[in-house]
Amino acid sequence: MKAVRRPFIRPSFFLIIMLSWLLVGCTMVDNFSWPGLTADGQHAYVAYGPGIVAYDVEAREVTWVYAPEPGRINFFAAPSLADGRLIIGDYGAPGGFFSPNVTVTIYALENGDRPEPAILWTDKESAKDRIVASALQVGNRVYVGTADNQLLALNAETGALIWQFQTGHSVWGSPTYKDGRLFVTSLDRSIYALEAETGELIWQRTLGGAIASQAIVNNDLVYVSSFARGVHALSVETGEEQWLALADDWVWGAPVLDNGALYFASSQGDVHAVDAQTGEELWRQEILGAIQTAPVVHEGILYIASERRGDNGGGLLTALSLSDNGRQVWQNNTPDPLYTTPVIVGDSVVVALQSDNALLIGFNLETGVQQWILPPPDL
Amino acid sequence: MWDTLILNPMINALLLLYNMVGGNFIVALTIFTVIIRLLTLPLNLRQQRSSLKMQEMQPQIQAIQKKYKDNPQKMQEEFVKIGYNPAETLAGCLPLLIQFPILIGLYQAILVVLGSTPQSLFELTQRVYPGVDLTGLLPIDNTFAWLNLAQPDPIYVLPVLVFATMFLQQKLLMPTPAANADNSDNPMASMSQSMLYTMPIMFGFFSLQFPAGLSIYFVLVNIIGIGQGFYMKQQMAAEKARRAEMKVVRGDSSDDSSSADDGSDDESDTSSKKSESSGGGSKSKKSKRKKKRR
Repeated sequence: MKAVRRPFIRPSFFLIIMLSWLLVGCTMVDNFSWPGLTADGQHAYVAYGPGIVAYDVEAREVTWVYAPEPGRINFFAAPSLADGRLIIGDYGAPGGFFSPNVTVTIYALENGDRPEPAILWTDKESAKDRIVASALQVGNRVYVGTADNQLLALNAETGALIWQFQTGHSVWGSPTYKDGRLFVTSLDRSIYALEAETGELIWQRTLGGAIASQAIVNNDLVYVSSFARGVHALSVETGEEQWLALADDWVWGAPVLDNGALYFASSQGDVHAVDAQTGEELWRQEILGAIQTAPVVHEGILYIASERRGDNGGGLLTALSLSDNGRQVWQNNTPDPLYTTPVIVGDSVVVALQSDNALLIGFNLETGVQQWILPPPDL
Repeated sequence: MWDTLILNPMINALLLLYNMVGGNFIVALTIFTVIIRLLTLPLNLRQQRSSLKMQEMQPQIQAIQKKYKDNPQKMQEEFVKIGYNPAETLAGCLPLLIQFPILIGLYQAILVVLGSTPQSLFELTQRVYPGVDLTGLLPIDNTFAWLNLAQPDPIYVLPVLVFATMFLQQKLLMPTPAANADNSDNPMASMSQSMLYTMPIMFGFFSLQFPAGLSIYFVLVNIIGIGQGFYMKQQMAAEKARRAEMKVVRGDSSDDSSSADDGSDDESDTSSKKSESSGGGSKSKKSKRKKKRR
């Protein structure tokens, strides 16, 4: 009897195991996103994959690497730096094979010259869902947006939760602070003005499209990019919309203010310059690539990172002259698309990539010539 | 190829339905599931019918295998006589195999549509067809009751529901074993018995890690499958009744190795055949007695 059963049962278990592998193997799509990049002094700080890397751009060497749990957690948010402290939230560690729960941790590290930074505190309780947004440090407070629609206010020295505010959808943009107020954007199409001390809502304005980046605040206006194909200028006091500068597609990255002009880029690949008070268009320049990043302005030049269109793929870093209606100064290619806003460190404009061969690349600010490459460190 | 044929159509169909139902992802997913099940209905019905038929024919198949183990040609002839075609068994698995690309595609579609990272949202913009107003649809409401549809259910309700509904569906597809039936010599029944528990446990287990949206899809598919199973049972019972009626009209005496239809007879019939087949000697004595009477 057993002799008859075995040949049938064994294939059945074999089939189940094969199907399990097939299903799990084919469907397990890693959650991934682009790296988060920040600069401070002569260092560039990049958070991507399992770790955070502090790179001394002038010395061309890695100062420190922090990888708390390689293989279990990922970082996507840009590190937040203030008062010798680096604060960042992770994308969550899975709870294990039998647990659907994810543990999200906020880390505060001492930003020094040691090969491994000292941990000031970690908080595994406050954030209940993944962190995509960069934290904002103001005095002894740190504000962190989460994917489960929360803005958390923590004590920057201890990590203790002070208050939390709920929006209607994920918070992907870093909050912005101005004169005791926080401006918080959310994918729920709204921007919220809160009392920074208490988290009390001052006003809320719902726009025509989701907001994935942080707001920029001038004296009396708040500028916010949205998927409603433009940048909205709202009153700081009331949130009333003053004007809308239209683009030809989504505006994903935050706008940047410089010398009375506001600069922003659309997913279609256009860089726009408008008058910061009236929204009137000053110039528009087309880049051959889709743009998700924010422009960076430095000494009269605007730097913009983009994805290159066409079959060749890759990315583009473009420098435009602000004094010459956005005339292209230089343009250089990168092996992979650029989705992260570049930073300026010393005489380099630094880009971060999702590449097997390069984590950071430095280009000369004036000529666009590639100066150095930092391969992804072995974590 | 995969993206063009499977993933992108699924993403756009989900977005279209989400728009049509006024921004309720669960309702959109339900309609989507029903549409997918309707599209694969002929295959599913065929598979269920084939599965029920094959399982009920097992005693006869075994008896033939035992009887003609040294004569493969005769064995094949006898198989043909009772309407058993091993290739058909494999063809019966086809709908199951077709489900897998759909499942994998849907898993990816849910992750992309619910856009849990900036990059997945960016990917979504590149996958939508012209004419789909993504700006108006975003953000996709990813909440339902206590669930974040892009994340696993934190309180284990969905994994339990996936297990329970799949178990019920599997149970429905299994012929009820007769009292005192011993499956040890019936490999197909043993396999079904093991699948009855392993598949639901496996999928319940997956649901611990899968996005809640996909687990809800599993539950919906299983519920529809249960309804389909009831329908199939009724259909086969009606067929059986018709056959019995025809036999009475024709005045046929039943000869268990002569009719292909016998394989879909009722459980008692199956069990009687089973007991016959389990004791090959007694069966041959009975047939000899029948022949003597004739």
